[in-house]
Amino acid sequence: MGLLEDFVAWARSKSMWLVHYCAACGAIEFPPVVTSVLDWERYGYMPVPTPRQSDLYAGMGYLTKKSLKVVLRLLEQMPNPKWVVAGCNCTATGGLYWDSYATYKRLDEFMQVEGWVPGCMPTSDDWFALLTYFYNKVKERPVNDKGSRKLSDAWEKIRKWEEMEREWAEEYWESLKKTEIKVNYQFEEKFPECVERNESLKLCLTTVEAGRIREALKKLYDEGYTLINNINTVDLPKNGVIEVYYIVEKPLEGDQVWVKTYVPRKEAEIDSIHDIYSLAYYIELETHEKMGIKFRGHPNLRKWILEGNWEGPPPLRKDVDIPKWVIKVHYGGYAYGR
Amino acid sequence: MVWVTLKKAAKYLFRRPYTRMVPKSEPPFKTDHTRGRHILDLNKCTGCSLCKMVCPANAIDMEHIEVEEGKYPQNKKKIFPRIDLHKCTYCGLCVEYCPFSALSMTDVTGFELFTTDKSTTLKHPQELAVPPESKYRVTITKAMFLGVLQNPQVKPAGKGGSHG
Amino acid sequence: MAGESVSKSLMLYFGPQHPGAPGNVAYKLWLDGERVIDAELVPGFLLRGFEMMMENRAWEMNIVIGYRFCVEDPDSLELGYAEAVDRLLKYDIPEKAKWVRMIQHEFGRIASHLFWANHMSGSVGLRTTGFWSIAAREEVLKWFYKVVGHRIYHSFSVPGGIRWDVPKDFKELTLKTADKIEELVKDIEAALLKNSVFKARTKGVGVIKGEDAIKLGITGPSLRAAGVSYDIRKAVPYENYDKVKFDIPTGENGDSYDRAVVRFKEIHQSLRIIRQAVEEVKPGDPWRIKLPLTVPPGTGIARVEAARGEYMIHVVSQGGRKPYRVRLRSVSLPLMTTAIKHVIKNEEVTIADFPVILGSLDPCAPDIDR
Repeated sequence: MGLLEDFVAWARSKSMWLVHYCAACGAIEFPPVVTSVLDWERYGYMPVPTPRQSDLYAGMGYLTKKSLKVVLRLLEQMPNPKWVVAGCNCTATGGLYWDSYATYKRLDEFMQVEGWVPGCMPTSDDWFALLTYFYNKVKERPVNDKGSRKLSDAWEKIRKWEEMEREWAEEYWESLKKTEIKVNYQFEEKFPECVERNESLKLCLTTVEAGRIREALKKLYDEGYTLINNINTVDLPKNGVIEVYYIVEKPLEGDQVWVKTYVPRKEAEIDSIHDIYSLAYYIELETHEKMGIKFRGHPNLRKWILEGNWEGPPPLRKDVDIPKWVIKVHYGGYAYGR
Repeated sequence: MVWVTLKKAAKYLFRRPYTRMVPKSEPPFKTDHTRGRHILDLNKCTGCSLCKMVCPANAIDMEHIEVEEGKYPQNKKKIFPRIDLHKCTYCGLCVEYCPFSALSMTDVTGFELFTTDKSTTLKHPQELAVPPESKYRVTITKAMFLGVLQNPQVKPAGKGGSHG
Repeated sequence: MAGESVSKSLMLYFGPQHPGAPGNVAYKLWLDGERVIDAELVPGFLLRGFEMMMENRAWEMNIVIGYRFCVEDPDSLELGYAEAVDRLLKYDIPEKAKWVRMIQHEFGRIASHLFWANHMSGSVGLRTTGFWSIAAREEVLKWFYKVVGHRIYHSFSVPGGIRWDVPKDFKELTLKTADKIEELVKDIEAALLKNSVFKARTKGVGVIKGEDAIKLGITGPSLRAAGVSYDIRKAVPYENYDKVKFDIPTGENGDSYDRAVVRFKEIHQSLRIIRQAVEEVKPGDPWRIKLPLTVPPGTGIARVEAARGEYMIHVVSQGGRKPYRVRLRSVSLPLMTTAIKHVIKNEEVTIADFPVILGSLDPCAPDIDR
């Protein structure tokens, strides 16, 4: 049977198909690899849309917690033998995003990995070290080699970490309820006058009480400020408040009005403006989950971007020390580790 | 018409292929400024830890090494940076902020650093000091950041963009 | 929710692992037969938490991290952060740095538009022009690799100027690259925009009119394709954009085709800016100001016209080594939420049209999650 086995191994090495899942920023270096610039079809590689016909998964960049769940399911669908390779630094150690609350730090905590391409990000040419390695090595593997496997406790690990985050969130809201927070914040309503003007950037900063925010924005909308740029928040624990900026803009002229208001940290609530500016619906969702501000009158206030990524307390609040948490949970207490 | 596309495509049929045959007949594309793995000059490093402090990826930590008596007198505590090339983002801030020009970068990138065992990419000071075995060029040095600098010119009042 | 009101409809997941999805992002689509009745964005696959990470790093370290949240167009963000900190410090940076920053900014825009051209060609099934656009983009990346040392993430425009002096052959290199790109782009334009299949798939599809576009929160080329000639580079000039000549290309109908045409016209305008700016880069001029290690309290704001629209970066300092708060605007958020919902409501969108319309809006998925 030696000849047949050799033939299978040879055929396998010349038809490595990669599952087309561009999970992160490292994927931006793949188009040159795939297209005529470097043309990996020279080695029989090809991207395929479905995991059921693929042999190879390449981790390209950071693993957000939500994406990792997709990757694990992809891997379950891929037929044997399947191979997992990893490019970029974030897959190996957490890389530049070592203190991010939304990423897992090491791919080999969840599955076996065949090869690593360091770099942030590896250039298209760098990937060829890996591709040729595979091209040559897969031939030498026994035919019944199943390749990289998912580790059996992968889902268990994820569940455990999510449980820890949930506990922290409960603790955070409990302690916020108990502590007495004094509001000492100087604020004077000036709307519709500008408190500060910046001619070179065409900005005008004005202030308004939180109760009258809808009224003020309605007025600005009628004056022609129909484009909403953003909603900014600044958390000030010393003053016991969160500043909220609504930035609206008049297209063509480019004039911007920054409407500044504030809400107390403890009961952070403000009226929703999603019926005045339709985009505000989504910006409010984001502000709600990341800063913990409740928008009264918002029809569907829920976890949106953080859903599946982070169960803990609102990450942008200043009294939530995320780096400390990440170092403790994912790096075993050593900030410079991997 | 679809004809337009075909006509344009026909032009490229008779041209030299655009493909770079890496690594079969061409080495990977590198330039004079390629930012790759570091080299460390043990004779210049004083162990000041500035590189560790400016590293945005926390890739650098200081490590104590055992050396013979009298070697590296400038470094009293005998601590040198160790760099995790699997965490480094190759930005060059450590080279820029090193006050003694001890760190530089070479054009050795992921192509040469490819590994099947990721523990090999954590480079200890002695490994960083030895130049990599393959052919390399020093690309980023401290000297690049020392060129013509201008003293700060503060913008006239009113032009700056600030809210109190 | 439309999904509840139309009980017969079928809910389908589109993405995140789907070649037609613009990156790692998913949609929940409600379908009636082939027709898309409603679409709901499912974000979060690319979340890293940039605002929090930037608050945890010193000012000079944020040079390296600040621009990474949109991988297709990092240079605009890099410039935005540098500008915001310059304003905070009230520094007037050297002229040479301004010109080089502009060239970098425009090359970044070209690379982003060419990357879009690849995606767009793919979604209408015309792979040929996609390959050419990647080849043209490769020329831009080679330019970056030679001047800056990295292909995608550059960390070159820094507060106070540019990181190091440009190489001696900077002018020739830049002009040569510009010529090469122009030649390829002309071919892509002819082959893609005049192709009858492409026209049939995009003309009259995905119409967003000017007034609506503004109310939906859209900026950038998608707004200009609707006939609103609004460009931050002209409206609120930064760097030396008031000293160069360029036009703002606009469309009329605001459909997918117009958006494609506007992007290609913008590439030509960018090349025009680069050719003017490179003449002003004089060898031997100062290119950087030394910055202090700590930054005084205050606020820095930058408004930058990126490849997809207006980026706004708001940095708050309370003194010390780290920024107190960084807030970034997401330009792709309206494109992927309000805009696509608006199109679905107003016209008959089939499941085959959906990736094309989405592609023509050119959203950058990581930029929503950050």
